[in-house]
Amino acid sequence: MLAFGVPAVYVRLVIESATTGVELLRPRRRRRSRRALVWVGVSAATAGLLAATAVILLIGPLATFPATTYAEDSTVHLQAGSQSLDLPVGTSWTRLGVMPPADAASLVSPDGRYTLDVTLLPSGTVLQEALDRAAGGASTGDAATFWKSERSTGGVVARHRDIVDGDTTKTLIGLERPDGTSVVMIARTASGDVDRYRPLTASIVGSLGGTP
Amino acid sequence: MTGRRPLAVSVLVVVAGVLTGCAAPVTAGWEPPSADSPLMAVTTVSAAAPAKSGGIDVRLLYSAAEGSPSALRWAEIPGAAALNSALRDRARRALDAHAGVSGVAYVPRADAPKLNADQRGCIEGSTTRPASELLADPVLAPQTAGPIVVMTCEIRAAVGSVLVQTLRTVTAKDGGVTSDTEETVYADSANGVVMSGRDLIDASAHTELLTDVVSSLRIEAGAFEDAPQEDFSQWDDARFDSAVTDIALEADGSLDVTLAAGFTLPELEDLGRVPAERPLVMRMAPQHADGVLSANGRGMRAVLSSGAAFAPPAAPWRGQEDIDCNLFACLALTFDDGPSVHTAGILDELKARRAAATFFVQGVNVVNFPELVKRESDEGHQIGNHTWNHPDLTTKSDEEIRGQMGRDDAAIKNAGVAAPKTFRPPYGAYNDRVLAAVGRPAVLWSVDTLDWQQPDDATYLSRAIDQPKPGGIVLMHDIQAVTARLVPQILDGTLSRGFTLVTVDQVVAGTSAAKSRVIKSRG
Repeated sequence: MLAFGVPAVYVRLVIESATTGVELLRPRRRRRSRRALVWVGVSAATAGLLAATAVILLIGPLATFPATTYAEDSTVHLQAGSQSLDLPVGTSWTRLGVMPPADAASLVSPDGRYTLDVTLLPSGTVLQEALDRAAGGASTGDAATFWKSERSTGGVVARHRDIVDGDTTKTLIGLERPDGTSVVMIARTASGDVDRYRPLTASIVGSLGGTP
Repeated sequence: MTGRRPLAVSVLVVVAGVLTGCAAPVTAGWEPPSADSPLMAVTTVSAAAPAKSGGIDVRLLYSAAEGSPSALRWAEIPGAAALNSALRDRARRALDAHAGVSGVAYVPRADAPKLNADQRGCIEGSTTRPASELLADPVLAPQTAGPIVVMTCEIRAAVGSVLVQTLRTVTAKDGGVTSDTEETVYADSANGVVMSGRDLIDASAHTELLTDVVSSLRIEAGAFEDAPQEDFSQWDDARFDSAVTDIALEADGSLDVTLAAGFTLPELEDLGRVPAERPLVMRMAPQHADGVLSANGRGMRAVLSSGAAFAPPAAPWRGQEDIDCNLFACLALTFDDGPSVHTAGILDELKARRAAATFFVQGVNVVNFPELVKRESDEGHQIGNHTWNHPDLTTKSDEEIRGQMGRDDAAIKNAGVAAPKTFRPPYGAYNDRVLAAVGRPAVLWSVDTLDWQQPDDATYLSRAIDQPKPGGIVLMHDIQAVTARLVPQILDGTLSRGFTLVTVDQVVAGTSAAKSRVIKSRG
């Protein structure tokens, strides 16, 4: 591949065609052929360039494109191999992403100020390792990186911690459910709103069996 | 064809722009579920009433005994005998327990390092300071070796007939704190009721209170689930008492629950909550406190929230109180030869410090100042006979002795005061014949200030302040100008050591000395 995404085979074809035309064709035909070949080459190069640009520009927007806004209480089904999870979603919540992956969902609250990424882990995944990856590293044992842990009467263990990143705070939650499934959730909101939205996170955790 | 290229690019840009510009729709008016506010919050307690409130008498015991130091203080309401007795019982129990640890029986001493009036009171912050800091403070704790017990007090409220104070008792041994407990005591002088903060709530409310406490701690720790995992209904009273060391009502009706230092539960540790080194005070708002208060608690809250001015009962004078000199370091200051022009000033100084003294008066002066003798008696001081005009009784006949005593008794009675039951022989001179003729015990002294020799101030003050021991009797003269001038320093100095200034009768009460013919000290 050359610069700007023009395939090398087309450039070589143009050069070779021009060389043989001089030897085999009369001048007018030779000129038309050459022009056609050049056109084919340039068109192909442009198409490639456009395709590459489209991919680059659209991957991000497609993933965050507000695909579905729920008009009533619904359920998002996640599947990771043999593991499955039905995630309740309330009215006016929006799911993001065109053709989202089967094992994950990104949701936005009706006020647009809170996003939640939910990922169902495949069987055999160690939850704490997944949480540490999401947190950008394992706990160093201090209060700031301490993973809080709660066990509900329903037997679900929720580990969680907040990570402040400037104006945004991520709340990372890992759930170990009695049915053996593990879920990683990342809630994002403005740092100043963390306490306001914590009950929302708690209720979502509860809806997954995190609280009785 | 060349015109189509910009078109394609434009389409692409528009699509991308539309996609990137799309945000999730916003529903107006939607709100996330509201947070459950914790019923209680960690707080710090500050004294609500100054320790020097009128009508409050802070008692101090300070012993730097090697091997068994102790320092205890608490606030009493003069005249509220029942509640004062209950408070002293708490001090005695602490001292008895301390004696059990140290192996040394408690004996009152006055070893305080010259504490001023504020330092002798209930000191603000003393119930919340770290124990190690408290034990290192010579104002609160003797700095001598051995197991130690320290009781401090803070006045929480003084409203109407009620005095509320927090008593903190710290014990230590071999440099380590062995216990650190608090008790808020509610004393109602109107009915003599003394109750602990724990009496403010019903035992049936223990589970609810602990649930509220731990739920609040969970919320504060950022838990998703408010409800405690611990089943507090399975806790017995002993376990409750080990966790909740004190309960107190604030003037606004809120309820303070003190958790023991180091209190924790597995579920709190899982939330990253580090146990506090000091007792943790959690405050419950008045509207929530209703659910856990007992009938006594609601009654007490009604008094405290009334905002009424503190109204203690009419206080007896110190000299009229029942004082246990086995508990307090008692000292009897005595003034001979008066009354005189200096006596009124001395009485003023005694009154200002709630101190008692004994005046051995001469008849020749009584007739000149009968109103002062009456005042001495009225203000709770003890009056003793010091003869009519100060002869050496050993040189007098029996009849003359009786004459000296009788004329003085008559002058005293004419001043409106009952005839004294004790006497002090002039010059301290007596013999069996004198004692037989007088027929009442002779009161001598254990410390003679020799004020009549006009010593320099430092010498005089050293004799009057530094030499006395508990149970002692100090000789001074209220006809001496130097005594009148130095009495404020002498009173402050003896009080600063931790003495309780009492009469001769009080200092010997309950001892064999009270029945002896010659009294020199408590014994």
